[in-house]
Amino acid sequence: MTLTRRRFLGWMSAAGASTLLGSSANAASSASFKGFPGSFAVLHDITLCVGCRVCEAACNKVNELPLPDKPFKDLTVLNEKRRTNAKAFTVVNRFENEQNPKNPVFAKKQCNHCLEPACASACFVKAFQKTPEGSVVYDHTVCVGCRYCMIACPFNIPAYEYDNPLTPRIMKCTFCHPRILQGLVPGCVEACPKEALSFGKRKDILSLARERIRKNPERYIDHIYGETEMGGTSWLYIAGNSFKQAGMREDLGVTPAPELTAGALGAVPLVVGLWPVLLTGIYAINQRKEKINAEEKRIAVAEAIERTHAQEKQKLASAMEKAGKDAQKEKDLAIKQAVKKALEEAQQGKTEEATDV
Amino acid sequence: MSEKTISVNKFLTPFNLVAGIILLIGAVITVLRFTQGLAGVTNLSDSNPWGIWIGFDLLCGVALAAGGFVTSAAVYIFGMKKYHSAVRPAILTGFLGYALVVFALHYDVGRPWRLPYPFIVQPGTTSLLFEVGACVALYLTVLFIEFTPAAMEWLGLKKARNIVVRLTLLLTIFGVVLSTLHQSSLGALFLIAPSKLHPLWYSTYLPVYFFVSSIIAGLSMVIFESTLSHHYFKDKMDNTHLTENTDVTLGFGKAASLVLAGYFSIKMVGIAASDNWHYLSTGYGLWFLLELLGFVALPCFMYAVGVRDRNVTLIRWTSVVAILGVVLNRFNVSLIAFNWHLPSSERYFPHWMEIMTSVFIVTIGILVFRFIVTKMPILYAHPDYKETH
Amino acid sequence: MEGSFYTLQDFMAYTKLVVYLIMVAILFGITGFWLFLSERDADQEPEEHQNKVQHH
Repeated sequence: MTLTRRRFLGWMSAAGASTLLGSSANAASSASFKGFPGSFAVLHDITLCVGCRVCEAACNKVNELPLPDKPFKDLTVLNEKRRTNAKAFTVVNRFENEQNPKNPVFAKKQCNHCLEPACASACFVKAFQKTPEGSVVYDHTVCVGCRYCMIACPFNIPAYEYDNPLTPRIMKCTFCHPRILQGLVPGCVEACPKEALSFGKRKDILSLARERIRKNPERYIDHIYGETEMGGTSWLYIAGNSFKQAGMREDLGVTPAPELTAGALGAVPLVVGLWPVLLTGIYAINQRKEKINAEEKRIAVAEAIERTHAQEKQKLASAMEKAGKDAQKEKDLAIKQAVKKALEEAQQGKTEEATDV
Repeated sequence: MSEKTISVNKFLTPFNLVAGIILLIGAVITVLRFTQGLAGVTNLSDSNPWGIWIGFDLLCGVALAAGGFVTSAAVYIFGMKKYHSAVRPAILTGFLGYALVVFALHYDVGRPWRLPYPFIVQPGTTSLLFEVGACVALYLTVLFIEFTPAAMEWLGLKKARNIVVRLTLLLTIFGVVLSTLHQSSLGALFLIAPSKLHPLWYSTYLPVYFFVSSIIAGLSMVIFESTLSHHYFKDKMDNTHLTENTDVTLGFGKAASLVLAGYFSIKMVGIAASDNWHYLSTGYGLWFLLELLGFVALPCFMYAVGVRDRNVTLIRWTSVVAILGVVLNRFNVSLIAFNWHLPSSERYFPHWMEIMTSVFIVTIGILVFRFIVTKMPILYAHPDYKETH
Repeated sequence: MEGSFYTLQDFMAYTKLVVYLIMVAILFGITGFWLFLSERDADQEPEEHQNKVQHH
């Protein structure tokens, strides 16, 4: 098989064009989207959390979740790091305090209700929706159970009912959306005895956080976690030590999830629109090449036939000419001989006449 | 002995016995899956929501079924007629591959009867999984239609067969379009989780990597499948198949060598673009180098030597290495380099029942392949239908 | 346009839906266009054959 340059280019461009299409198709970025005005947020002041787990108990009650094996009063569970699971929308964990080992750090973890949720971006049945109130709500009536949202969530929050054979659901904090709609605060916020959780409009919560940091610079590090992480979240955190020490990832960046996939998504319709043109073009080029090859072949064959004919014709002509020449030669010879004979006869006749007289 | 006993004995070959046992175990696991949920048969967890049913059955299954669009594009769009005998086996492998992927998905998702929901209830258009689903569904339809001429020739449906054959070029173009989309989108699925995938594997070029490596997988699978078919189904092959085989092996080996070289280059570009060179000296870095050098650069070189020396055997063995390379890459992206931040106690390893389910699904594929190849004109041209291309 | 969408997610959900519908239309369009083109090829074939014969 000869790999012509054209064929190689055809393959390579068909395979590699998307490299060029990759990141340019991003017309909108979250910078131009300000989020729902007046949506709510919660500030979790990690320095105030004592790990009493009353918020966990309140969440369990409000959402009518099954009671766990160990009661909420049992604080030995804090010996292990826990994550959210199908029966616990929120957990409190204890962490080492490197600066002050006598005062361990406690931090509550739950869905952060991102401004541009990765779960909503990832879900292929649109089962997640960011509401104007700020809650990211989940619709179990359409969920297929693909668990891509669990892959997408950078905070590893969504949990799944793996032991449910026919009606498994994703389980995560709802931000007490029904309660918020009634003008109440989320169950955990209401229950917290140390006021480590504050509920209000996001802009007010941000002001509150900035104010606390400004007023107590030695108590807090100068960063509000969730202000810009993953494009911003509705649950905001302030802490005394690094957030990493509180079990939170500091390397998530500020790019919201929808922007991460916008490039790839943008290239899709270009492939649909242009590949058929490219492929038909390659096909047409090949067809034309085949046609030209066939035509050249036909001409070559025709010429060969014509040459053969011409050769034969020439052979015949020269043969005929030769035959003609030979015939002429013979004729000449015959004439010569006849003349000779005639002359000889004439000569003989003359000689006879002369002898007669 | 009676005729019935003889046919039964012929049926009970060692392969059939093993396959039968696998089918039985698979049936039991199926029952367990739908009575005890995923917890009863898998090691999936909240931190590891995707296991080998996604990493192998979906990601590898789709990549290894890419021979269909690659071969039909080569023959019908690029006009390489000498590979024509490879088209039907490649389309069959492709069709069965995708059908089994959809079958496997019914085990993995929580409510498989809701799989049509994204198209008929509520489309999640921002999701790359939506894109994968739509393209896989459409492409499975295209593959099925491309497969039907063989079945129709077997059933004697001449008129229908001729109508479908006239659509070949259009179907081939659709096949390439849809394959480009879903092969690349499977890679794009992981774009949304940069914090979970190791930097040596995470790249904005993931969709391009998956698409290019799917071509490698497709070319290599055609070589691999034809090797096996020549060994086990030689009696079913007509003269064209037998004589064209060397050309197919050499030609596809050459193409695979080139594409592997291109793939290697763009992988280097990816590392450079994110300045990730320092990761190469870590544990994961060594593993990455193993994938890149042992399963991309090496088969590239092996294919090249095989083509240059016309060493068909070398090319055949290389196809195994190349295929394993694509499988390794898919495993790395979805299982091994994924969640690399988690402590080893929280990492995932498949449950034996998950592995058995995958074996069960592949076995079904082999059995159906064998049935179709022995009964229908895949490895030979039906005597009633002259090859028009 | 941007005024009616508060989040990038909602904006993309809407625009991508429109794009997918356009893609379906493109695929149908290609099919129709291809049938249209190949119909002409089918008509031309006997003509071409006649031309070939004449030139001989």
